Amino acid sequence: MAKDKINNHIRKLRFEQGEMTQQKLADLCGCTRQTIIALEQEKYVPSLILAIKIARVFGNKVDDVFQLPDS
Amino acid sequence: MMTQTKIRARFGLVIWGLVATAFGLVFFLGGGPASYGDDSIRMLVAAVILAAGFIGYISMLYLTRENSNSKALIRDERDLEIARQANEIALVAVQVFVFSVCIALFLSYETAGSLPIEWMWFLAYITACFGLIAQAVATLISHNKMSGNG
Repeated sequence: MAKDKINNHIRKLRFEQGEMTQQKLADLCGCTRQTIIALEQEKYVPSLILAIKIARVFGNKVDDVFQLPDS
Repeated sequence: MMTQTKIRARFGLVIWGLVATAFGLVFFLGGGPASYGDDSIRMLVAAVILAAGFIGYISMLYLTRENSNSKALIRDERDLEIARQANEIALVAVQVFVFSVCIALFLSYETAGSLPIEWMWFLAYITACFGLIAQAVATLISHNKMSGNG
């Protein structure tokens, strides 16, 4: 079972993008709002595909949105 | 809002919990395990209970299916990951359960030298129920671990 954890700036980036709602981001990325909530609370590690989609929505690189805790 | 995965797990737990309880009552009451194989009424009632459980479960899956007319996405990669983890846990749980029941039956009837064949009915029915209960519980646990509040 994966114990990996990944930090992210999704909440911060959402608010920088005109207070984008979780539902709006979920719709743009093709996932559920529950997944966005879980990601923001760092309770779920996204797939690479979802990570790229989220980064694209914000116009950032994946590295700018997601970081490993020790990096 | 509850996700499809969580709704199905909750309903599944209730349905198969009721089926297992009802079967346990039919199997152990009204003469006990030893007379179960000769009692066609009890066997019929048990079969009806299991069939009702499957019909109820399939109906629930149908009623909670993804609605193609709705734009709202109700299932995504996180739900698939939850399901994958739940299946792994449920498989191990069923293996341990069957092993434990078999060992318990062996120890109970070791001195008698033979085992009433009716216990095979019990093992068959209760394993079917337990597998689905274990999957539902594992789904709820995995869902809880991978969900945020909001």
